Amino acid sequence: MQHDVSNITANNPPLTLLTDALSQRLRQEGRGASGIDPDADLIELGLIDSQALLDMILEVEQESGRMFDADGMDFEGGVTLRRLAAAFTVPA
Amino acid sequence: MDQLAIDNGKLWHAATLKDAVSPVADVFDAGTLADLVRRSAVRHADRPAVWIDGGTVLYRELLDLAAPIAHCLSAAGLAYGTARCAILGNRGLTDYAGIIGALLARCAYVPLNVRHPPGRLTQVMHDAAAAALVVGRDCLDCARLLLSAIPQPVLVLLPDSIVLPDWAAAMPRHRFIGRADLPRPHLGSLPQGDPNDGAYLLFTSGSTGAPKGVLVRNRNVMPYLRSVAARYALSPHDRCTQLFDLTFDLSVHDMFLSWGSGAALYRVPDKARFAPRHFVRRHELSTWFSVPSTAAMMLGMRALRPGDFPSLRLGLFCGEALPTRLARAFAEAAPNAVIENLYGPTEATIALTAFRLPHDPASFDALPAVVPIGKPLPDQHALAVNAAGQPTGEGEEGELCLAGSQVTDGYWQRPDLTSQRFVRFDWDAGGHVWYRTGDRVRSSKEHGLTFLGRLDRQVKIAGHRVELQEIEAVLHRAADANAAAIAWPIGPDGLARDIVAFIGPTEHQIADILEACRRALPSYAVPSAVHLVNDWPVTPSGKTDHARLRASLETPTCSTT
Repeated sequence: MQHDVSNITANNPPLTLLTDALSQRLRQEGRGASGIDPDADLIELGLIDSQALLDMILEVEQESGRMFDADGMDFEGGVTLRRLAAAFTVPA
Repeated sequence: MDQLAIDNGKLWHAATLKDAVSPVADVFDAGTLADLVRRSAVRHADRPAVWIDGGTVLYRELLDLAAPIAHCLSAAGLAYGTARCAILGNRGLTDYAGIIGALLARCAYVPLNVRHPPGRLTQVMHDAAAAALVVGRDCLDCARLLLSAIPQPVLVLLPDSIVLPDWAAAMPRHRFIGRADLPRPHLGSLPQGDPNDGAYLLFTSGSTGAPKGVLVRNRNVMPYLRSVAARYALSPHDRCTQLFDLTFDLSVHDMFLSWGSGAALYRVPDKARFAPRHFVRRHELSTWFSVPSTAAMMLGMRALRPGDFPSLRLGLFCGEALPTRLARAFAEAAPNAVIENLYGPTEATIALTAFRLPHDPASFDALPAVVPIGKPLPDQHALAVNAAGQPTGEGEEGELCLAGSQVTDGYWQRPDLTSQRFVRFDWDAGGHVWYRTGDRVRSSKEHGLTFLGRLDRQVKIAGHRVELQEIEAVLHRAADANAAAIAWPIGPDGLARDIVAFIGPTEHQIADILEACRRALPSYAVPSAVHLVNDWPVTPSGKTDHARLRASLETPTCSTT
């Protein structure tokens, strides 16, 4: 079941952490990192590859204490920061 | 008969195709890829050949798309067995049709990935001396850049364009044919191919800084397909993954094993490609073929869990070392699947050895940490030689050498490289030409061959061959620095994660250097970071101290930008 992205607002902790991690990565690659649209498809835009995505997910898991739920993230629908953020769940 | 048949797809296939080939002939006995597809289309005309973008394309529909392309190439005088036709796209339907069309016209196809840098595509197009180009959907901008840099005349086929783009008029040296000018589909007058015809020409990373080509002929690829067809016994009910870029020769296995078997090829969408868990489950796919990195990605995301893929009956891996731990996780996720590790370089056509894992994943613990690459396929030869070129004994390390009908003639228009790598051995009474792979292996009775590493500076990133010298050449040019070196950090799954670059003092900005890399190299070969090293470490003999550079990644002592 897909997670609801409608409640993922700008101050959502995983979204903030994901945005920071991506910005840092893009800076390291010498690319502009300002104003990343949380609904932009990161793969389509060539902003990230699969290895970097995994690194980012693991980093956010570690920092947020939340778990990434692969069941709730169908990548076919697009990899956006907001959709990724929605897939981080608080452990029961 | 053709004219009548044109108006009715079913009649057309019932008549023209049946006339072209015997419906009772075994499909994999075909001498060429084109013949294989024709034979299979006779048997399976109304079955799905491709699933793509949410829709299904039947075998007869796929041939209907391919035949006009073949006729254009034939009418242009290219159907003589040695011409090349480039295919520009990204695993699109037009790409598949273009490949079949090229083969039906006895042209070797040259896949071009639209996402590769334009400079690289131009170089490949130039080196291949491709006389024709099929342009896939959404690739017109790239085609314009590419064609503007190609001085020789090219026949440009645009099967998805109803109207020719404006810029075509500005390139009168090229001849453009859009959809409206394509002939109606029929196969009747197309030439019969020859096993000696080129099937595809692929370019891989080259140590001199430029990609090197390998022409694979029908007589190389058909023995492989016969072997795997017998080994895996796919049926028209199978649904097969299509994950590999068409520039990767493992895609040839995807397409032609599936189509030869009457099975359906499921083109995994780009967005789902690195973790296709939902896709495989939703479509109940039955065969899986990927690089180990794809499974590692899914495992890292906890998207590879026991029992996840009950529909899979076959799980194949190739392209890089397969960690046993990863193979076990996949086997547990696909409990009904036979799991195999395949091995082979492009020079020896797709894969030449295979190792079948035991059925019970619990017994994987008895295997080495990296799954062996096993034994050669039927009628192929694989053995290790020592530094003196003599075969090694069991348990001894050596360089893996390959021989047999799958081994190609050598590098495309590079006799110098060919003579280095394609050799004969005095001890071989059979007089075979052996391809020296540069891979270090050890053999054992129990497991066959086990991959130990490389003898040179080639690494695999997500299955892609990367010659480090190629990246260093780009870095030297971009940074104008005296020193450049590469490291490839290994992840917890035992696979190379990415490329990291080090450069000596330079006046250039790191961002500019990385941009130059992005312009010159495919994405998998672009360094994820460039470290500026002011105090370049050297060994007592004055060579770059790679160990100290690698160590600096863990304990930063150099500045990173």
